[in-house]
Amino acid sequence: MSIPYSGTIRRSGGVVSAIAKQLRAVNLKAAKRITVKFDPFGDNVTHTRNFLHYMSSRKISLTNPNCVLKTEVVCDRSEPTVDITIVPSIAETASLKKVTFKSGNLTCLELLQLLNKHITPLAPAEQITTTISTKLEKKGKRK
Amino acid sequence: MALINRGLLKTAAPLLCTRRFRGKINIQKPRKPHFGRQILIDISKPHFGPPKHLLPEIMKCEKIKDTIAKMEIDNPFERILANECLNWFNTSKMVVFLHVNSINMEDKTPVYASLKKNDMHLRTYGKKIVSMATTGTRYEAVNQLFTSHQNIIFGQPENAAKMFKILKKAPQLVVMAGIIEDKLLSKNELVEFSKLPNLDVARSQLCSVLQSAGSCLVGQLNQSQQILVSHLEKHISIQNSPTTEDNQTESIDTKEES
Repeated sequence: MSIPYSGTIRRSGGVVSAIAKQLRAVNLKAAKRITVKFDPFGDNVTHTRNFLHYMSSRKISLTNPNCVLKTEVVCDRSEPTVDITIVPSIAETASLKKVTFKSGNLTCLELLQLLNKHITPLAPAEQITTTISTKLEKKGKRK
Repeated sequence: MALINRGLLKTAAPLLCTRRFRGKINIQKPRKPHFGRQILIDISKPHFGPPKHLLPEIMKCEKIKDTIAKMEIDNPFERILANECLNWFNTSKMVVFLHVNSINMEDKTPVYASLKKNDMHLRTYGKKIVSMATTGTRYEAVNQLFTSHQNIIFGQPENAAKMFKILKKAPQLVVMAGIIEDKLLSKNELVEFSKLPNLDVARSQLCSVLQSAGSCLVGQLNQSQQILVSHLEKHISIQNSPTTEDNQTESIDTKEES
């Protein structure tokens, strides 16, 4: 007796591929300022520091060159947080001024997923720029 | 023909070695292989263990694979690096731990160079090496910091202010904590330390503070006498000035008389 096939056809690539997938989707156009605050001697700062390392990469900073990434090191045993200030023009439409992630108990993947859930959709849609038309095309248009 | 051949690229003629010519292939009575060939055959023979159905259950357990894979292999190079790391810790009076964000070597090299010019060394050691170097020594608390990407600066405490100035140019390198003169300091304390003046200046400030207590007491003791003296002097000066006025009025009268 044969059992019908069940299960996945493709295997998951693991946490690393999931993180890479989230990073490819990140768009910081809606963020004006990102402040990552952590206490280096805390127990639960590994994922925050990894998140910070990924956020500081060149590719992600190129999505919005005006967005400032600030790292704050504190020594008062406070929980690590990620504060994101939204660009004022988008904040009016979205009625959302600031997003705070309390990342003490969040993994790096979860932080990225939350970022993609809340910040990335706020990014304004890309407008198609006018293409350069050749002389021949212009002549054709006139006719 | 020979001339044409000379112009073309000469290929080496293949080395031909005859194995057999027409005769039957020998299978029934193979000759004994050469000693070297026999060794290779013996080495490359596959070894099969007992079949699974004959093995006892305990040998079939799959959890052992994970434990065996994590068995630590002693790597002498790692030991050498750990020794080097510990050496750096012991010889430098200032050790600063940095969190490293994504940075190009293009941006990092000028920082490295300017630190080197100021007699400071920016080095990278991995978590395992640092844990090997510091467990059991007095630097054990440092392992807590080594969870993500980090660099270490080894130097002398005099250059702390310069170090902060150089690191301002590389915002991707974030100071987390530091060890100065065998004391672990947080980032804020490090910043305060860098703002302190030179040791000689600090000593002179201390001397002046110590002296100020004594001089203050002396001043207070002498205060009443000094006030009295100043009052008396003023009194004298006031007394002298009306005599000069009297002299002036006398001279006018004499003039008028004359």
